[in-house]
Amino acid sequence: MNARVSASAMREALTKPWMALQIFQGNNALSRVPEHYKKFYWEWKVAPKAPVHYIPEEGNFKKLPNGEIQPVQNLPLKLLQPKEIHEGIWGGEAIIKGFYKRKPYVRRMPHYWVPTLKKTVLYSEILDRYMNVTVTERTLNLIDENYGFDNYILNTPPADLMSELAVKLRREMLLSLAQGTLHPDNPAKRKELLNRFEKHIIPVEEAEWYGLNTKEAATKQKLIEEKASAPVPLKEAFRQEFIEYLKTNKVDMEEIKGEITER
Amino acid sequence: MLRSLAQGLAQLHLHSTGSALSRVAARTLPVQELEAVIPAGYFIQARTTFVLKRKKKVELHKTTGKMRPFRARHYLYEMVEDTNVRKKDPVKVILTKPVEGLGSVGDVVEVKPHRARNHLLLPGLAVYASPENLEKYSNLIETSEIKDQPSSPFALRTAEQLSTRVISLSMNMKNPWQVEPWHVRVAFRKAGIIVPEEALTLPAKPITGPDLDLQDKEFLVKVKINDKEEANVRCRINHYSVNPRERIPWKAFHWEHVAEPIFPEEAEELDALARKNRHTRFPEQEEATM
Repeated sequence: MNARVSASAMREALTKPWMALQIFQGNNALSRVPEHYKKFYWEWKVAPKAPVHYIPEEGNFKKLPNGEIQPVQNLPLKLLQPKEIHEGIWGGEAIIKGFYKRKPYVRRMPHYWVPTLKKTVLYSEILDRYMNVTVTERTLNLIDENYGFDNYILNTPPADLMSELAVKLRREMLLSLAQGTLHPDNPAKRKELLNRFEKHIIPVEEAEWYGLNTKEAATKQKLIEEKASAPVPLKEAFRQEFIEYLKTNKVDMEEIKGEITER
Repeated sequence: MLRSLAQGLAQLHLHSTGSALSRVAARTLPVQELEAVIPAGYFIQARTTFVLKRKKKVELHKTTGKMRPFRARHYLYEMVEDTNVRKKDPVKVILTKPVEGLGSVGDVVEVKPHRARNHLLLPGLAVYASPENLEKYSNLIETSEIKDQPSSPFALRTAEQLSTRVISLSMNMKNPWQVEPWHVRVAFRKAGIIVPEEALTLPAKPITGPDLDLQDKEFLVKVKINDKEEANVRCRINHYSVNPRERIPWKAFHWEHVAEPIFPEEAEELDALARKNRHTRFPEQEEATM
């Protein structure tokens, strides 16, 4: 069975994992969305996340004290993502549900480790907007490390943003960069920002698909298809036919005019 | 590497469930390919908040195929670190406007994160000291329009502090004297402020004594800071004797009460200085509280 797989198929499966996602395999509108949307979806929902709540082990293999060699397998902690995570920007933090055990002869106790949330004002230069957002200390540190909110949102992979709000803001930023609609009454600022974020300028068509959830993407695909396959009124077809006829037969327009006026 | 690729691919065919497949794909992707798929920023990590560790190890699992389900013991965690209580690193910013007590335009300063974010960056008094910004604002000091910058970030604050103080000048009760700069210098020193004599400017009219009419009356002394900023300080005459029997009884908290001016032309300024200090007690206030 392995031998049957062609090299090109193998390569595509490994370099474009988003093409094989189950959600795009059906016979619905979602299966027909453009490839860049599938890639975005993979980056958002499926791609591995940065280690936040645990310290990963280094290397691929390790030597045990008894001389045995073992592979290193880093299994991330399971995270709970409540709906509030998408109303703020938690910077990759989430709730951990588990147990703690303080003494050897004490039964383990259930515990939730919840990040410390705070409300703060963030400023986006591209959108020229002050926002009241729920964040964590980690978000603020990441913003400082990236030298600004825009840099943080644009440079961080969507999987690590881990928030629908952040992805929507990124979509808005990418759209305004692609269309050049930022700072309408300040051309100097606009030019400077377009220069600074040059590597984030993508085609408008891609930016319009970026950051949509599956429901929105399916709706968008349906609308596009409906528009493409809308029936053309017969009068338009007949008009086209008549123009063709006039062109091919070279009818004298003066004669026809005379006939019409006589009647 | 090739073997794992082949294994991964075999998996693709055996279980065509989306999540398992992509999990395998992500794991088997070579690093270069991974970097092409995932932006480079992914590999940076900055850790804050709760960092936990499993108390029991998870048994080794196969790189392909379904993983064995987790047991309750795999959710037993130990705290490694709570980074919210860690000391916060300062943030480096470039000032684009002068900030009192911190620096003037173009200075690169390190401040605590909360102050940097909420009091400097958000109101637009500063920008992050990123490599691009350091280059962009490198000539900010020369091109700055604000030429009259304070001599030091602390000069204005020092002047403000000094002007709220009352300095008590202890003068002799018996021997004749005239107030000289060194008297004032010593009085400042007794109050814990070291001032060179050149920095002090006394009133033009001489004050001579001993004269008990001058007891507990004020005059203004000008103190120059760094040869630039000027602060007016209230000085009060107090007659002092070595003999305890002759001494005027000490008045507690005399610096909190208003005093009469020696020179009537200074009255207004002295009153303004007294009002600046929130500890000053005025006679009308005292009556109201009674």
